[in-house]
Amino acid sequence: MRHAVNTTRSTTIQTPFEHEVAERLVAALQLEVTAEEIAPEAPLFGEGLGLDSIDALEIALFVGRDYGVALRSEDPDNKKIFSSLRSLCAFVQANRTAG
Amino acid sequence: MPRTADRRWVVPERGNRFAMQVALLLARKVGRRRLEWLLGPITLYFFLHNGAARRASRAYLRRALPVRPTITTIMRHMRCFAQVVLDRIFFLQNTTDMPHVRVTGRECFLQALAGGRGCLLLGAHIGSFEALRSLGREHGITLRMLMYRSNLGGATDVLEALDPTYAQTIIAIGQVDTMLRVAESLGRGEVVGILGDRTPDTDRCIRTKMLGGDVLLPEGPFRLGMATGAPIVLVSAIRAADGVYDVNFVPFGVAYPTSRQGRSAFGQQAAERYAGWMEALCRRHPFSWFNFYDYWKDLP
Repeated sequence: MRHAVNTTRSTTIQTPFEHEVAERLVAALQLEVTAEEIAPEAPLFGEGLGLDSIDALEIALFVGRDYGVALRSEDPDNKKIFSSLRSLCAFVQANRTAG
Repeated sequence: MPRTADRRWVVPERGNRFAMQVALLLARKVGRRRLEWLLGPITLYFFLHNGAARRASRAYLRRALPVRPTITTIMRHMRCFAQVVLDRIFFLQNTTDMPHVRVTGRECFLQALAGGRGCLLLGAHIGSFEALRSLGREHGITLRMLMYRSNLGGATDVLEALDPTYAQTIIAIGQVDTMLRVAESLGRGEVVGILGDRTPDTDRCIRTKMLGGDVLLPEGPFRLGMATGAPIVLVSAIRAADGVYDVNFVPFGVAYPTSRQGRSAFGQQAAERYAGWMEALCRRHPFSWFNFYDYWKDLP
């Protein structure tokens, strides 16, 4: 699943918040890549980083714990939310500021 | 991120579906006991038409039995499978015609559940997991099965015709939020059942010894346990000679690691414990193993 090129933000450079989440991601999931290596718009699951549904649960756990944002199974947008680091961070930021 | 399901799974499910449709037709008209005459022809059909299953049975029995398998023992193995498939229909129908269930180790299960984090019931394709449904109903416990919906294929309609609540009791593997669903279910104090003896891919699995050979087991159930903190309880339901299903709960007995290093070691320890439990079951009930495909692979 490829995303349209975002013209306002770099597709390869992480924002500071994305970098922070990437670091937590690498730590929580014990990934063998560094936080810097996670391209913000690359797919997290399947072909990209190769994460699976249990990793998604681990992500939901640290996002809930560290940012107070709940990821729930009934959210119809889950596929989109979990599609990349960027979309995950966008969801977290949107719900953190709203909350 | 659905990974492609392994083709070899299709083989047992196809036989399963055939047997179910034939039996279903008669289940409405005839009682369970009076249907058992069907098992002979079904077994014979399975034996003659499914060379892969026949070879898999022989390869398995060679490991599990103290003597060399013969046509008779292979037929007996297949007949056991057909019998359990037939019984499954009546478990799902939930009528008075259901096979009876005898339970041992109930306390360990109820105790695990009392912890308030739900419970992961880890079983295998040994005996019948369906027997647990009646037990769940009896205790007012919600039991959901974590499984590949695609693996059921056309059998889904049959299963839903038998039990209209069937779809709600399944958590389908293959969605990004599958495990969120599982965690939420466990959080409500529900029970999630997993058959942990089949793996669709080889990169997320653990190699261990079982019945003298190498097997690959999915690491998913153990990672899931670690992530949710839900206790794992091993469960088997074996059809005894008297037609009663012996349900046995066993504590998993491998504690979740607290350290980071412990996490990677846990998977291996857990898989060994699980394989040891399966091996003991196979030795005691050799004809109740229902993985009719090439289970022991020549691994490099």
